[in-house]
Amino acid sequence: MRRLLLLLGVVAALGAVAAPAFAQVPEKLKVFLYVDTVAGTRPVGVKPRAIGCSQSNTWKRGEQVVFRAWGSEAETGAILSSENVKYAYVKIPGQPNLKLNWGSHGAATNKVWFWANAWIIPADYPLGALTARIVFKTESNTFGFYDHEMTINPTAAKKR
Amino acid sequence: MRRIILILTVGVTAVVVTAVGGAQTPTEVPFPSPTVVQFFVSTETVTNAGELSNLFPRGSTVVFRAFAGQTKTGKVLTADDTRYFYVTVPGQPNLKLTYKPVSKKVLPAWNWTATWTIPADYPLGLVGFKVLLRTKGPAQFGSFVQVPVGSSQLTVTKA
Repeated sequence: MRRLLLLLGVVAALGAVAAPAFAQVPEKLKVFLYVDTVAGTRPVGVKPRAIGCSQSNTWKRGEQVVFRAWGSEAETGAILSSENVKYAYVKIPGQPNLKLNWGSHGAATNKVWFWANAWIIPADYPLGALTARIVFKTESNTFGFYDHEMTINPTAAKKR
Repeated sequence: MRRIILILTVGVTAVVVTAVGGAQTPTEVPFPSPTVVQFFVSTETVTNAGELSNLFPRGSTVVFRAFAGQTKTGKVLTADDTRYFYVTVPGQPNLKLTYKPVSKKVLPAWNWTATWTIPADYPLGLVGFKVLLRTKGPAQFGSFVQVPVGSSQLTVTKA
């Protein structure tokens, strides 16, 4: 019986983390996040967009979605970096978690820092709306969540 | 005498190392700043249909969505807290952000919005908009600027 209760508890906890929506939007947050998605320049089997790194949340199968994020710890105001974050990832329904990495980006003369990683949308990924949940856990054991809503459309025109 | 020279040498070396270590690499833009002092502000631009985009043709409408949270307390900003919260677009009147709590149970709650219809003669290219807020009572401030990557910043294109 104890084991069953434990198992149910674990399942419920996992479900809570995976759930795309909150029972109530909190009035206070432990971690603040900025998140966007931009077009990667290396799609698979489809044409790259005219402008790489332009923002969008409407995608076609085969396109490369780049998640970008930055944020701060509410209590200290410290910017989230590899110094104060245990882990950060994107939870995309039906996909393995996508680890976010802290690093500098841009040209050598214009480097900026943020968390990022790229996801190629599988050719058979379900069409329609989805919510990608971005999760941060800090070294002080606080969590940050961000629900990024996206839409997947059928495959774009084939690359010639 | 040797000791004094040694101490002086160590001292000078320490000062030089500290100065170099503390200096910012000249080729790097300080983004993001190391700390958020009073308010964290986040903003995104979407179309009327709610699609995230940074490319908008002249004549189209840009919807700015924003939220802000207070450092230390973590409190999410509401209309009761603000003296002002607006978007400033170069060459345009300030756009006041309007507070309307959203019923959707997702994070962040985009409770603040403003719209801007791009004039037909607005200059093409990047738009360096900013979002600024000030609280009621003891003044606290917050601001948002875009990630300094040109291809993902708000851009006005031909109609």
